[in-house]
Amino acid sequence: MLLRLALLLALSVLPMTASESWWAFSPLREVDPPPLDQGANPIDAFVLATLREHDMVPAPPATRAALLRRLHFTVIGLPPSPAETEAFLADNSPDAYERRVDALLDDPRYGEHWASMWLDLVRYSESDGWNQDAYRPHIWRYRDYVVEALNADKDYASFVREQLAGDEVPGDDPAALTAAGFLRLGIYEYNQRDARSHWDDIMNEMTDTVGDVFLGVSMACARCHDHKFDDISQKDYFKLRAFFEPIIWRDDLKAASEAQKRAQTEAKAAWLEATKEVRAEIDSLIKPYHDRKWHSTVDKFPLEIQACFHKPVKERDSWEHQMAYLVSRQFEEEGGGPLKSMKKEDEARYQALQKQLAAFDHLKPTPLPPVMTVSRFLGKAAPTRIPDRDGTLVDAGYLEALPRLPLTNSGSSPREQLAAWISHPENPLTTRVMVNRLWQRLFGRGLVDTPSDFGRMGQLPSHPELLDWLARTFVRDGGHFKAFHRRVLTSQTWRQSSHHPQASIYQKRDPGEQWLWRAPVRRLPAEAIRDSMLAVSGELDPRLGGPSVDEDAPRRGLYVKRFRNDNDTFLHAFDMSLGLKSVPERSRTTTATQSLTMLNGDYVLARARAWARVLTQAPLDLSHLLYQAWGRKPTEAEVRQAQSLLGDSPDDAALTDLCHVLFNSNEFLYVH
Amino acid sequence: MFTDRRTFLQQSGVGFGAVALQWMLSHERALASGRRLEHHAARAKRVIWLFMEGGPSHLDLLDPKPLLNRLAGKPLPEGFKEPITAMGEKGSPLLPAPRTWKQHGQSGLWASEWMPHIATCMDDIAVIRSCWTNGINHSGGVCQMNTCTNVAGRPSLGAWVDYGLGSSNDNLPSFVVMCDSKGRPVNGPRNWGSGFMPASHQAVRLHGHGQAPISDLHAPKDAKASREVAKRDLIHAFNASHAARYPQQSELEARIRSYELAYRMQAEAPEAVDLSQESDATKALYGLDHRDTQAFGRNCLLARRLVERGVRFVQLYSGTGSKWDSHAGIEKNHARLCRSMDKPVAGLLKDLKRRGLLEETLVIWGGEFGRTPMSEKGDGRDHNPTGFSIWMAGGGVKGGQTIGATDELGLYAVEDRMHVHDIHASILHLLGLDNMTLTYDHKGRPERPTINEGAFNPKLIGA
Repeated sequence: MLLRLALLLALSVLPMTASESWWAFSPLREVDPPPLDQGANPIDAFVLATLREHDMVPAPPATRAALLRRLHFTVIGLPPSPAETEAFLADNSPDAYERRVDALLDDPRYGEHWASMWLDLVRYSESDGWNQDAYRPHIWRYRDYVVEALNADKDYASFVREQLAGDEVPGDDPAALTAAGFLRLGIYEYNQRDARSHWDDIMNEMTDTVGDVFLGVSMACARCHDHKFDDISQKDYFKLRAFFEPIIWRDDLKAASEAQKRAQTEAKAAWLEATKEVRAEIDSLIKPYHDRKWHSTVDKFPLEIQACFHKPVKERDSWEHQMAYLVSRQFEEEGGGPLKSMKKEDEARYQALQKQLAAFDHLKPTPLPPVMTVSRFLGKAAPTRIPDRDGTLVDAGYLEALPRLPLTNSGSSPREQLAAWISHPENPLTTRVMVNRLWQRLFGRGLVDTPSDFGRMGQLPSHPELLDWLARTFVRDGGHFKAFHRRVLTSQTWRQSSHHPQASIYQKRDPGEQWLWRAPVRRLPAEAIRDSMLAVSGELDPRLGGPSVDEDAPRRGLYVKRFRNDNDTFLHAFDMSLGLKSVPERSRTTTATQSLTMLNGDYVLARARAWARVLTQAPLDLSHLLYQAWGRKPTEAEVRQAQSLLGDSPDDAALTDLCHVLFNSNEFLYVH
Repeated sequence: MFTDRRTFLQQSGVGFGAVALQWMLSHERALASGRRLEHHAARAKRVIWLFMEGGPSHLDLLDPKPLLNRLAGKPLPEGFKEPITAMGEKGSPLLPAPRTWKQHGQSGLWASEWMPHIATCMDDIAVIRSCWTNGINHSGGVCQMNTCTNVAGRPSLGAWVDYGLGSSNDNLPSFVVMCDSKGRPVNGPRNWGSGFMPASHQAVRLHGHGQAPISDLHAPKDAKASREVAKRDLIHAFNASHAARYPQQSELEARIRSYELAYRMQAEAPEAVDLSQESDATKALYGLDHRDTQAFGRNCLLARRLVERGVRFVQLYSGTGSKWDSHAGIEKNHARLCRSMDKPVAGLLKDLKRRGLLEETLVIWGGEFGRTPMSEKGDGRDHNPTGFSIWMAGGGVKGGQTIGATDELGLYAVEDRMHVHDIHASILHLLGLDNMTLTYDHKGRPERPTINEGAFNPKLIGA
């Protein structure tokens, strides 16, 4: 904090007008890499130049086994098998490594692993939060959208556009509508009667998140006042919010193409016709009960909200319509259904009718996949007001401090325009922010070490030229993540060893290791710990995608149901994010609770037992067992140590103990 | 020092002895004293927060309103703005509070017949009658009372205190939560979460009767002790040689240390929660000898044992799962819950006092909001976030006083209003922490525990 204050003071005396000169807000530079040898990777030239300035040399290359293990965990989040490592070690062709990089980037497990970067950022969870914390049964389709987008190497501009405006993107791609589920990821309280404040909170939170995720600046400060350190005014904040003001929530739309929807309508016609009478009778039977429930639901809201509900749709503005939605949603969510409080004879009749209706189920087509998404209200858009004394009106618009960008698609919807502005090649902030996020995930820290704060309270880039070169190159490559990964993963910088002969001296000079003189040693992220245990124990179910599963199902951690109110699971013990706020970088804690979980927790013990069961089915090969855990051939001494735990005639229990020890070994939990 | 220790570790090879451990512990403390400091002299060293979950009625416990009984059955008089209520009943008649009120102790503070034991401690208690909050529902209310805002995502007060002051016992968690039933409070564990701070600041939940107090503290019952020792040794052997191969990687050392702490917790925690060491008289003081009071009494007694051993922040939920919520039938609901809580709480205050612990232990009693003077469903009360009471004792608080006031019907706080921000700022102040000086850098903002608002109320210390 002191350092930052000093920095601020220093900045304040520099002769500059704030907006133009703040590095992150100024245009991307065209940078040439320092002179480099033929065939060398420009990244290395930048990094070497900086190292030279500091009188340092990079670490030697990592051993091939360590490199392969690091590559596997970095790209797909799972360890290589001993067979894969042996095959790599035996491959003497000059491009053996590059081919592994390509193969892993093409592996669908890449998307599964990298999705967590994005899901953390967009505060993805699968429950409502608040008291009920209700599960959102269809939101997993958004998660699958992210995985598929990554695997298909979707360009960043499309990725941004689909999430901010997928509901308005022309064309017939159900994925875009699913992607717009991004705008539904916030928390929601079904029984909140102060609907006005509730919606206001939701809109503000959405604005905060968009600022965090796409712009990498903390907009939240400007909600209540002009930003104290950055050139973001309160007006900027509400201009950004105004893009989202006309949004209404939709739960009735399907992730289906027009053709699929037509086919569905046709197929359903027969069922509708056949069930016409029985449905009419059901409707009239439950009507008085529904009416009563409607009455009591609506009645609980403040009068102004009730008025929105009673207003005909055509006369509503978008805010009023959304208020009516919140009322209706409460009707849906309140427990009981029509059976609650039904008279005995009506109930009997109701159940008989339901039985009759079910007799026609064979005519019913499979329902189309529902999505949680949004639309733009077609009537009048509600105005956005700054909560100042006058309630000043603002229109949608871009941050004043950023350079004007020539936008060409003026015919498209406001949210599409915002997406185009965000992903514009000349937008200085967003491209830098995105390439820094990718770099951060590959190296464990970003070139800017405050990945969602490129403002004055954030850190300056360690390698500003490299950052701009990466950003420019990313744009030139069409905004594809995989090209970026390939470029970085094949650099010598990334392939360095985590050993450096001068480490003790260098560490004093560069304690944060920002000059990249060796590879970091990192603990596996929560999901990778879980997934690796399942992988070596042979339990891992490799299916991709689909509805989320309970914690004890042997699917990857990505697929475990996420509840916002449950932060006491195995994954959370290892710093999995909660989905409450945008998380650009997870904490990396080392706690006694983690150790107790690893030592005594049921989950880890069950994995050890499963692994031991597999081992008993073949002659025991201790060396192979340790190889599986550590990704390298163990030494004889290590095999002897393992043997000593097993004793002479190892039974299941002893084998389980050894597997359990290996899960607890740092070499299993860390990647070098 | 770093290098010395490194060399030592390398030379010691596989064994990881007591000397290294000793070194690490002293190192840990040195680190702790470097970062964590009080901003001013602390009056309280620790906190026990008795959380009456669901919202107890201030009108029936601590804030007598004669006008309410006079206007019983009538609508809210003109001049009182009708608030947005959680359950949305409109124009409901006022519900009387048929209590017997008495003044107690030297100070003559008011308490109703629903808390006869706490009433005997009123001279140690400062009642704040002018609290208000934003959350009108349980979720938002409980969230705000714990994290200062009704929207999820910020660190709980206990996490801030742990961040600000650290632990004073290396072998026990510094922030502990207990519930009086197996149920879960509204919002679940995120009430005691660490929000945007690392998860190491969140509370450890101690479990109730019949369960192991700390999750995963011990190996499964069928595990043989000798095997556990052998496993532990092998983990050490592998990890120590691994650390030796990766020099200058502090995380690997931290991981080894976390195992050591886990072992120390295994050794110390069982003693801390072993109530068999308490005399029958003490147990009776907390109501452990009676069915109605034993669940909460046990937690109160555990809280005393934990703070004695250096645990910094203990939160006890009474009525876990919104049981204080009394939209209908408040008479029966509150009579029962008061009975379950009253004697244990008084026992705790008396026990802390006679052991000389009360002076430096801040005890807080209260829920997420109060209840309306208007009736709901005929014989209940709705949530009242706009005016309610909590009380504090010990930790430098001047007892025997009432701070602030609600209006004549107890609907709105009107005098010396204390928002949750002010309540938190005051708790922090008593602990020696200034709510505007304590910051945590997050995404470019110096985050403060009370979100840049709130102030210490000096009346709490009689100033």
